[in-house]
Amino acid sequence: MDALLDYDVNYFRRQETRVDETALSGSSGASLWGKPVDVRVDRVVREFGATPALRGVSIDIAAGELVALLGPSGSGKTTLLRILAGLDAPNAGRVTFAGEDALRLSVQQRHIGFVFQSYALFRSMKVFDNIAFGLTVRPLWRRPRKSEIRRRVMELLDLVQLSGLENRYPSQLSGGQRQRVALARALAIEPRMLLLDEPFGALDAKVRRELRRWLREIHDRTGHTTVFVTHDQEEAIELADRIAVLNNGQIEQVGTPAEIYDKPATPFVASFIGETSALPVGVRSGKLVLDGTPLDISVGGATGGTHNLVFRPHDVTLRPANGGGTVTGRVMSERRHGGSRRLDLEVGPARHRVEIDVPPETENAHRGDFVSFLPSRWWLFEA
Amino acid sequence: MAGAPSLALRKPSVIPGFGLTLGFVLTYLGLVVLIPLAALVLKTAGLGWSGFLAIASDERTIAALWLSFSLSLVAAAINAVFGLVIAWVLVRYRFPGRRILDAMVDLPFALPTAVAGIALTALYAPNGWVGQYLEPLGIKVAYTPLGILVALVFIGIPFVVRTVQPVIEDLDSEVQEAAATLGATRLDTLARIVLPTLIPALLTGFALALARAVGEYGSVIFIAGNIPYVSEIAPLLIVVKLTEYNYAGATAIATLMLLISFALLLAINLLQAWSRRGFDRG
Repeated sequence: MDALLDYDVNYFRRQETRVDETALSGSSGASLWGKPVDVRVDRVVREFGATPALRGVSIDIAAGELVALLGPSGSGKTTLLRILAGLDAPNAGRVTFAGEDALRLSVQQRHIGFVFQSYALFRSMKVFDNIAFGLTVRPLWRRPRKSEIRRRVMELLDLVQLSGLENRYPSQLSGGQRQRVALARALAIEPRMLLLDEPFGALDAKVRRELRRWLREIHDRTGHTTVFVTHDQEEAIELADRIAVLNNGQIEQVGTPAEIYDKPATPFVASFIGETSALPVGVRSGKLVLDGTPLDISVGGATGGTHNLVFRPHDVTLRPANGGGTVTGRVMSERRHGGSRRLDLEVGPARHRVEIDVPPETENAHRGDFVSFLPSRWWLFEA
Repeated sequence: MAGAPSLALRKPSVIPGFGLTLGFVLTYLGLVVLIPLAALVLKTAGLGWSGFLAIASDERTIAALWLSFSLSLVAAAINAVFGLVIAWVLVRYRFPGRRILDAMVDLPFALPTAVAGIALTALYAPNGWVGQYLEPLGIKVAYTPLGILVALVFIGIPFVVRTVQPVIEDLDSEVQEAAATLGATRLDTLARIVLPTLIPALLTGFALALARAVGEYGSVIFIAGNIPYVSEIAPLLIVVKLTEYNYAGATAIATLMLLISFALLLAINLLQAWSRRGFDRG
């Protein structure tokens, strides 16, 4: 990592000025090159046949921001990314880059660095030619000189820590190395925006964590507006400035990782981000009621009907068993979970299953014991 | 058998039957391919070195060999280009009649070659359906080397289409999309990404079409006119020698064809190995 930190910080600043000199080619996108752009997605709809993949998605992304599109498979996150790149077109809605209509621009004109989940490297080309590709396909009058291309490719190889591998073929590299070649190739064109589709999906956990931190460093250094798609909430929380949670073709919530984690707007977000347990409860005279027994939890606005009481396993306080007003359950199983012990409880006659975390040394909380607790932090969603 | 150092050929593997299948392959190849070829060379050897050279340097032999191999190369090249286009269209586009067209590609395989030869001759003869329009333009097809070329193109086209088709079907669309995001036009993508991927298969198709064209006899003799020094192909010359009971002469020409074919196919194979670099793993 030291080599990376010593990296010439002015490199990309120099590149920007260089781009401004070379970019005035008359194409409609040219005026925007080099600087990170802000993105506005406005009520975008995309249908595949009769199946809607996106049902009116809107999100604003600030210039230089690192945004994660998080959601389960089939939630439409990759479709949204492909629409931003111009690889797919929406049926309705608007997409603007720095105020300019992006949907009018072809993939080539959008000038976006796209990193595919499968890396999509060119197998018949060496690493060097892969990275240089975006420069060598430029029309002659905008193509840098050979020596200049070589210099830039070498700088990028250095940036992605693959110096010395320029003469390998992609098939001779490991998964993590291929991923970094794909990123270098995308950065080589000095993109206005960087889009990554499940960038670490196919890598093992350790490489994944390393690349995650490294991508964050690259982003902070280069300042590209970056959007990445992931189904891994941990990845999104660790890496992103803001997270957009998608479900079923709609954005459920957009916010910082802390907002998403601490104030989930919908039951889906609550259950998708972090671990949650849920209990069906009623409300009677300002108190929550579980299976007819009032709990020691007061609620303000909520009235009648059934609700879901949602809480994180670690946000609970144990209570004395005879105190009343608590949730009481029998421990069905227990296991070590990080720094605490996780109990699998069966609550009440309806046998609701919930999970809670207790300190490992807690007594009388083993298999078969009855444990009483109350959530210390919780959300109430209408069922 | 375990650990026997004598089995150095064999790498440890869970796939069974190495000894059995290798034995079968060698026996089979020996009976069906190597023994007949060895007999051919042996028969030629009976001719003696000077006799062989006399036939090999005979002008009629040289003319026939030149005609056979040059036209076969040209026909295979034409097939490589148009076979690629046909395969591309069949894989990439959906249109009515696609399946019928797809099935038609195999017809040159199924048709007796004599039928193909007679049909082509009838079409391209000066009074034929196509020939009557070419005649005023001064283009003669039937009974000329051009006619031979037409026949060789006809019988070779399925080889290229069928070898390239599955590779086009397997083309990774994300790779092409990646090229587009990097600013490559469709033409750039085709020339720099798609074609290099197809070249190994294309070379295989080319080699098969070439081999078939070199050995083709039935369809050619009907349309060629078979004029010595002009439109007489090497396989026909062999038959001519045979009808003259000149068996040694016939085998000598056959051996020459064998050597040239082997050299050509070996060269194509080497080219293919080179074009496959980067595709070996992963």
